[in-house]
Amino acid sequence: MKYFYIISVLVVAGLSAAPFILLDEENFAGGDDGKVVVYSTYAAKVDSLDPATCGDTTSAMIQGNIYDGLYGYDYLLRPSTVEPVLADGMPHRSPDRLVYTIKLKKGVRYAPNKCFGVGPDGRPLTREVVAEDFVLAFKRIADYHITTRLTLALIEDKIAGIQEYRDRTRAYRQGDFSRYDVVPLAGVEAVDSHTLRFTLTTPFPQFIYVLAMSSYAPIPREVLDYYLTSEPDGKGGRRAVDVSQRRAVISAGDFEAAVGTGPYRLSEFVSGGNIVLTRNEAYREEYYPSPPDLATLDERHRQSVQQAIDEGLYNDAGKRIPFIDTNYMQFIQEDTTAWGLFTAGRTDVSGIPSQMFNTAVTPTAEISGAFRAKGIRLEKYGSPAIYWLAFNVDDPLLSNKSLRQALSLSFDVDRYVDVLFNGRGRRAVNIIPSDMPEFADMPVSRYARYDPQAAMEKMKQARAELEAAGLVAPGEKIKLTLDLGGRENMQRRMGEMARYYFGRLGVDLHVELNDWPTLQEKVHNKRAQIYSMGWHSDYPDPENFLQLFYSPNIMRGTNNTNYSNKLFDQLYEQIATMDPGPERTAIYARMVEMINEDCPQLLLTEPVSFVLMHPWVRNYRPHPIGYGTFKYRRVDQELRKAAGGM
Amino acid sequence: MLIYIIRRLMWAALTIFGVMVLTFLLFRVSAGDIAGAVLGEKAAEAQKATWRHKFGYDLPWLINVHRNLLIISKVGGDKPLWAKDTGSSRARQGWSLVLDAPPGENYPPNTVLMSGYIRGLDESTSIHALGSGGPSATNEDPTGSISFGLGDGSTLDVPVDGVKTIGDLMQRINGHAANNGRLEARITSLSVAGAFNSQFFRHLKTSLLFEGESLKHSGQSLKSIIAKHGKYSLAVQIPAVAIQWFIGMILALFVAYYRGRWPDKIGVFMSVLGMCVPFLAFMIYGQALMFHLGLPQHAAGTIYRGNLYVPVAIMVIASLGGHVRFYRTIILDETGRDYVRTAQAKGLPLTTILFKHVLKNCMLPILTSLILAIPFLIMGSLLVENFFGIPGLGDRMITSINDRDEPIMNGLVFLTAVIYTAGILLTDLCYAVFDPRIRLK
Amino acid sequence: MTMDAIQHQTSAGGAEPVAQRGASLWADARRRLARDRWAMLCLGIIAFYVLLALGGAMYEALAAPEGGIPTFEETINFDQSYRPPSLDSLRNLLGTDWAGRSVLLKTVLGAKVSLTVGLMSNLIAVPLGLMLGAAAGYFGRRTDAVIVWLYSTMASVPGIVLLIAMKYAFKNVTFLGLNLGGIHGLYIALGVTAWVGTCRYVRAEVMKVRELEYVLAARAVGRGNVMILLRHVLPNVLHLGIISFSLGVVGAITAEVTLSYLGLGVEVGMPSWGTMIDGARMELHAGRWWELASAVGAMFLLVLALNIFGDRLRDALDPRLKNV
Repeated sequence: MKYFYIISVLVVAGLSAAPFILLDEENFAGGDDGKVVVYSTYAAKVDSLDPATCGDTTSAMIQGNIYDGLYGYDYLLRPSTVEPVLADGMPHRSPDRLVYTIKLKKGVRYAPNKCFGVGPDGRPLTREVVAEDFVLAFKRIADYHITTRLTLALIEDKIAGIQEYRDRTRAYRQGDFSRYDVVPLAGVEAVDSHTLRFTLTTPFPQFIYVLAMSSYAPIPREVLDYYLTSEPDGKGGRRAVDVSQRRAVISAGDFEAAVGTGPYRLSEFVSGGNIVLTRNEAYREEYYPSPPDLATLDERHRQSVQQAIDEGLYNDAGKRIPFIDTNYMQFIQEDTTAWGLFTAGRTDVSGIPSQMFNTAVTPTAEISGAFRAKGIRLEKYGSPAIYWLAFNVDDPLLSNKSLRQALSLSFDVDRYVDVLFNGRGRRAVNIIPSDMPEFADMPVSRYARYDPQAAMEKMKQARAELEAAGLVAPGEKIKLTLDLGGRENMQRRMGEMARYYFGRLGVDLHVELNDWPTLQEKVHNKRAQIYSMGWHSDYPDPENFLQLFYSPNIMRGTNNTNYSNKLFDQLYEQIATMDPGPERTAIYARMVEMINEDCPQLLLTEPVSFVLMHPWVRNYRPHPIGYGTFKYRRVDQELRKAAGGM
Repeated sequence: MLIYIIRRLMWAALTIFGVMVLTFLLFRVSAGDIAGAVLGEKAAEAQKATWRHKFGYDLPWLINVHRNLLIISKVGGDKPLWAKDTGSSRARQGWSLVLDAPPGENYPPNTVLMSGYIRGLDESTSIHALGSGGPSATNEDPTGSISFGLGDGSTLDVPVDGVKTIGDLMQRINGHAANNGRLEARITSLSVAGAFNSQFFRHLKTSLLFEGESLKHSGQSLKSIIAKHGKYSLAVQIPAVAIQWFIGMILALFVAYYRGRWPDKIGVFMSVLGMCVPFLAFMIYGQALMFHLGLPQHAAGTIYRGNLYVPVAIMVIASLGGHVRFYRTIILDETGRDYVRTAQAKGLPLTTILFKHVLKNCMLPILTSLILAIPFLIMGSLLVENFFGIPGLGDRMITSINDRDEPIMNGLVFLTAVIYTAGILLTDLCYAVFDPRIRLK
Repeated sequence: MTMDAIQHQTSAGGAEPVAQRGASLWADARRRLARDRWAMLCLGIIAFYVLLALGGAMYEALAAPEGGIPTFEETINFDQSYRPPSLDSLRNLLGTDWAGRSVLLKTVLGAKVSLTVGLMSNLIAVPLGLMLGAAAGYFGRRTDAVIVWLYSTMASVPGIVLLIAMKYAFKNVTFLGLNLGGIHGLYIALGVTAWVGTCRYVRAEVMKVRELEYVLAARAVGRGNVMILLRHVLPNVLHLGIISFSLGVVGAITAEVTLSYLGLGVEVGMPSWGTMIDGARMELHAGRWWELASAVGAMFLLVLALNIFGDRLRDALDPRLKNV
């Protein structure tokens, strides 16, 4: 019997050591081989490593560091300004504005990768980027067999030959990549190895912004031939995949296929796990931007440059980038955990969870004493995004304009921002974000304010109209449903606030908490009445927000209020081909006023983010729409070690 | 005894079957149309139909006594057969003809266009029966024409004006002047083997062979997910169960020894208290404690392997009450037996009796209760993993439910059920082997 | 799990059935219980909660928007948010929540929700378990096999997963005029999954009762099966139903809390302990402990009382199973 006890104790001890037996050491602690290493967290799973299928901000954030597009945005200039990245200079536009000719920089090479072959020393090779690679990228986006999210929608009706290409590639099997060789894409041609020509079907002033997205990065044919025609065999090698089984898209399980020209490459990728970005050894010579001559800038740009200079953001001007060798990214969804890592000095930059807000920030929105003592800095920046509660204007009740206006007036958005976001947001006054260049000329909505009195009066009017139409019985409460996307505490509280404010108007509001796919399904099938929506600008042009109300976009999905107004559509078609200028801005203003009056949405907020960073962080300035800005950041490793960080 | 074992095996098999029926009803039938959730609602109906067909979601539910309209390309060549609407024809969209060779028939891939599964399909069936039933399905009579592209690159334009029945369509195709035997339209016949090609039977097959593949994250098979995430769940649950048992036993023995006296009363009282605190409260306060002690990096995540001991500790403390009570009951049941009283009367001290005789007899029910806890080893505790950010199978199950990733959801639930049933089987066998009362029945 | 395991164990090697139980079972049990101080104390606590729940229900019935008594929603007052508990007013006795509402009121309304869920789900689960268990135990063979198969199947799937899946399936479904997305779906789902424990328990007991002399006599005389079930078998297992009920309420309350944490609990606007815990858990870091403590404390006390009372009830009704 004695043996029983000894054995059982040993067994228990052995089993208790399971974590160390089953799991590999996370080599996160380290970075002392002279390399500059940074640790960070990310909170949403990366859906896509393939530029063609990129459609969410987390994927864009990762991809932006791996892939480069033809153009990008200047890191420090605000409002956002386009600059050439892989292109050699700005595009040459034909007089009819339909043909864009772009020259490529010479000597830009991909990150070394096995798909290009292996050299005599066993190390992977690389090659220079040529125009054909861009053609392939656009062909894949137009490919029938690839389900894109945003990348096709932006160019679908704009570049010549896209629809034809789509139709013709339907005749090919998914795994038959000869369609990229044989079928031409009329609107994208490689004139020579370093010259690209785009032919548009209609003038498209925002085309330069589209080209500034890393989703239109060049794709080397070798990636398809090496990675998509084979799969890992589990023993470190690869085995061929039959044509009928091949996928057309780079999958997250085969991360080495993410071959780009960017400053970093993936050395590790686990979906919902660790992501490691490592320096691309073959990265071309790029330098930290120098401040432009202030005299050549307009007022807003000049202010942004001056501010950047004052904050020391130009101190590294002229130095070669990237500074940081490795970024270890850990998947942490709980924001208090991410916060804990930050306060322990294990990550460099962090947002502030709302419950910790008061410990970090004073009531006057300055960094709190305790944090300032540790040298932590606070940076606030706005995102060019707007969140709102959309009204389904096709719904019998909500088709009534007075009702929508009444609801709009009844909700105290400032209180909402205060209570749920600790004041980190600005009330949106119309559907154009405030940092767009044309914002100053856009009219403010009369209904984007909190006025319970006016709301009650509008409501009386609405009731009268609805009763007259027989939709509501006299004295009967108006029943509406609010669908929110997400089942977190935040959504629940928002729902309770909405019930409270709408309840004061005599509305019986039922709130449904949905997960994201269910909400989209409801909206698409027009089964939702009121639902939370938002839009983050894809490029610095108000047109990006006005297209949300263009009626053909109802089918396309971006117009999810079902708003349909013939005059608005006509104006939209007009501005779609106009270059920026006072004439266009005037029409913008008219369109914005129409939306203001018709109120297809209850405007909520423009988010403002508060970011904390440790004193050893340098050159950090979040970019509103650009991704791939990690290459500019620097950390003072000595300072970090001295302060007890990693 | 052999009969007993065989009976138990049969029972286990029936239970597994029952689980598959349950998961079928719960996950598959109530899920409705998955195509929209995966492809995005605004994907074309034809694309959704192709997707559904590829993954078998358009098959009949129970038994396949349905027929299809086949359009077969008799021409060689490496281009696949495909159909395109021309003019105002919306036939391709509305009829959702999909590309795939039907199973069991030896056609080269991509040479067959197939309609959906229709019961009682014959030449007199209305042409509208081919509709996929989706939002773009139309009840209007077709107009315009369909252009078929064949393997050698040639095309055949078939006018569909005024087509009213399937027979009409077949006639238009087979009797087309320019056909020359390149394209044939016919209706499949029923077969016995084909009857099993239904969602239910496919579900059975996929479940039993653990064949699922994630809909959301393309390329991840169920097996790879289990392999990758299972070890995290095990890394938390194995120490938890081992330590729970160990400490539970020690405390239960201690308390049983002092039966009736105040250590026992306090022990029972504490156990009951522990059982009544909600598990969530343990987790929340436990994590808060971590923060309070200044150890936030150990509050969650697996960046350090040692972090896993925090949830382990919380799980042990939370379940201790229940375990101590349970073990105490069993021990006291044993100590109430005659032989213990005899031994005590004979002068043996209680400690010796406990450790030499009672413990042995208690081991069987205690160990079997541990075996019954094994399925939860693999699934992890959903709450614990979700709360502490441990990428185990339990967490994966929650995300797959949220994402509507039906194959993975199904696979993981089935896995739990299989392990649980195996556990019960094992405990029954243990009893059969070790408990003479059963053996002699 | 504990209760099921005990049952598994005792049914594998239990003692012989006790001879004749007379109609004095209930009177006997009542006497024993009444003498048991702890049981009476717990019963008192449970009664107190029931009163609270009734009070909450009355409040909700009487409160009307723009009426004399403000509805729970209308008590929102953002200027009063996050007040710590203080003795200056009944409203602030347990502090206020994020929207300035009284945590005391929230806790009372939460008690109503918890007890409703506990009651309703067990009103479905326990009779279901009784009937199926009795049928299985009495008729034996094929009926028994089918019912055992049914509950083995259900027991093999983790309860939480079943609940989550059912909640998902119920979204936007209306059944007999009830919206199943919220609390109604919750107790239907709970009821339909929780009958397994009772069924097992009852089946084992019925299998013993079936062999009792007077039952055999009734069958010999030619009494119909249904009569026997109703008049002889069920009364003998009714006490198990009651015990299951009291312990089942614990399970229901815990399930509601868990599901609310996952966002699948009661509908928005209805206060419950589960949503209080889910909402307030993050507040702990900011030092706001009172909402979490109220919900946890209220739940703890009720669960404790139910557990102890259930135990004593079991001891009183079935001394064989007494925890020595």
